[in-house]
Amino acid sequence: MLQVLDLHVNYGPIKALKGISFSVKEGSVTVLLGANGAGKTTTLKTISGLLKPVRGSILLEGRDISKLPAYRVARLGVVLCPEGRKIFSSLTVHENLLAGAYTRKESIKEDLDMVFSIFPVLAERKKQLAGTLSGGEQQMLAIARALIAKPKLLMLDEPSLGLAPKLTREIFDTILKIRETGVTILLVEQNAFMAMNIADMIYVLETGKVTLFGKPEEIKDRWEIVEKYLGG
Amino acid sequence: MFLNQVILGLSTGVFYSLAALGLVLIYKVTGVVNFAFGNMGMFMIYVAYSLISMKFSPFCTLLMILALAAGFGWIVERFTMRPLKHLSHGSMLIVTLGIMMILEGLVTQIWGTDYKGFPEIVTGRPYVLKGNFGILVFRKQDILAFVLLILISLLLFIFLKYTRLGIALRTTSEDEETAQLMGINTNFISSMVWMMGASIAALIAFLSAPRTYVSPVMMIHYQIEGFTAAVLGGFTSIPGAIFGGLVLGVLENIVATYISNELKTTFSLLLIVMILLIRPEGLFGKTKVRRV
Repeated sequence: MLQVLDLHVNYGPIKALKGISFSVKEGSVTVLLGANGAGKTTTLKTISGLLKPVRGSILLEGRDISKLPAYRVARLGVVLCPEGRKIFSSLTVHENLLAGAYTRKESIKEDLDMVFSIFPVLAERKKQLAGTLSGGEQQMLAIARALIAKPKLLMLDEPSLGLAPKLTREIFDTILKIRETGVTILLVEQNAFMAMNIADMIYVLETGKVTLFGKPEEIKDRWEIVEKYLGG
Repeated sequence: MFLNQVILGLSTGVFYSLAALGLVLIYKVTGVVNFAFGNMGMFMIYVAYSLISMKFSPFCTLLMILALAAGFGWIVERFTMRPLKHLSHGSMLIVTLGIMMILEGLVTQIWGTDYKGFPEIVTGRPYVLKGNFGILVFRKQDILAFVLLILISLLLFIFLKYTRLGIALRTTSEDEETAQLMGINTNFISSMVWMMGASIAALIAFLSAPRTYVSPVMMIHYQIEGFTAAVLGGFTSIPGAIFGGLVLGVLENIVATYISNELKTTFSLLLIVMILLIRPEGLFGKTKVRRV
């Protein structure tokens, strides 16, 4: 459904991506693995339209979206749940979800119920200011806010960042639940073991390039290489 | 008499509140303090003056001016603010200063520097309230201004709290990049607040022109006082802007009556300095509640 071809992106004078290519199959979980500075976040930001590539193309169902502004990309159903959660802390939990549903024209009541059934804690805190939530709750809200837009492709940027191991497992269970509802997922991770468990396809990034890719069981044989890149 | 001074203070405070509202709206979303705010209204009122000379009714003129001001706000945002956005807020601020001076020069060229009279929308004898507290005088135009302030505040509150676009405005104000990820066209939101701000400026000028007369400097006072009121209210809080304006109007009028009329402006400038030193978040500004 999504094809990234020979993507080059610069951050000022720094070449952050030096020709990345990968594809995301409909209904799958694709994981981009890599250490800090490998270009994972840059890749997601570029797909979502926040950054513009100097070269290369991003095809969504055959259509090049690399030149569209971010809000148009979101309206096409490619939704990014950004790194560091980025919830709107001065808005209530409910208002955050309404903001997430901005592109939806029809009633979102059912979707609110759906989101609250996945994250019951958000229903309890509906009227609370989002800035007062705990880190784990904020991450749930960030995912919920992305989900309620009914994305075709959901991109998650390090959803486990800064969370306790137990919460991390919960978040990953949720990602699997979301996959079951038919949403295609592109996930960025540093946590290689977690990623191995849920991915259909893994791409390993190193300083702006894809250095290794394949199904988890295929890469497993070359696991020591992955460990070398990621530091375990 | 003290109560009458308070009422008089409120009647100017209404304009400070509106000015603060216009400044805060633009500041909240774009981060720019709009120094051209007052003069955008001033320019529109010269157009209004010409329209009224052409025998348009005041009410009809007001509607046309509000629409025209919105269009002007759109142009300013689209062609001067947006192209500079990637530079810095400082450069955008300088541009608003430039626009302020250009507009002043322009009206002097077209209409000259003579003060011109301007009709009130509602005329007639003021309402007078007599009682054991003395005599209170309410001018009709002041009451209209007050009703409009309440109406605008109420509409704005409903808009920001309950509408899709209002929530989009608040998200853009908090984090523009993430708002875009929600599918919100943040450029459109910026245009919208500039249009709203310019219309508010035109409304202030229209309602206050009968008292201040139409002149190139008629809005400078409201610009400064609106700024003070906004600082008083915390600069990002809309209730703060409204409350700040009314409080400033009353305080200033009391200073003018009981101390000295000349000290009026000095007082409000002193107030800015004092607030910024003692309580920089203003009366209504919030220190952010955050848990990590």
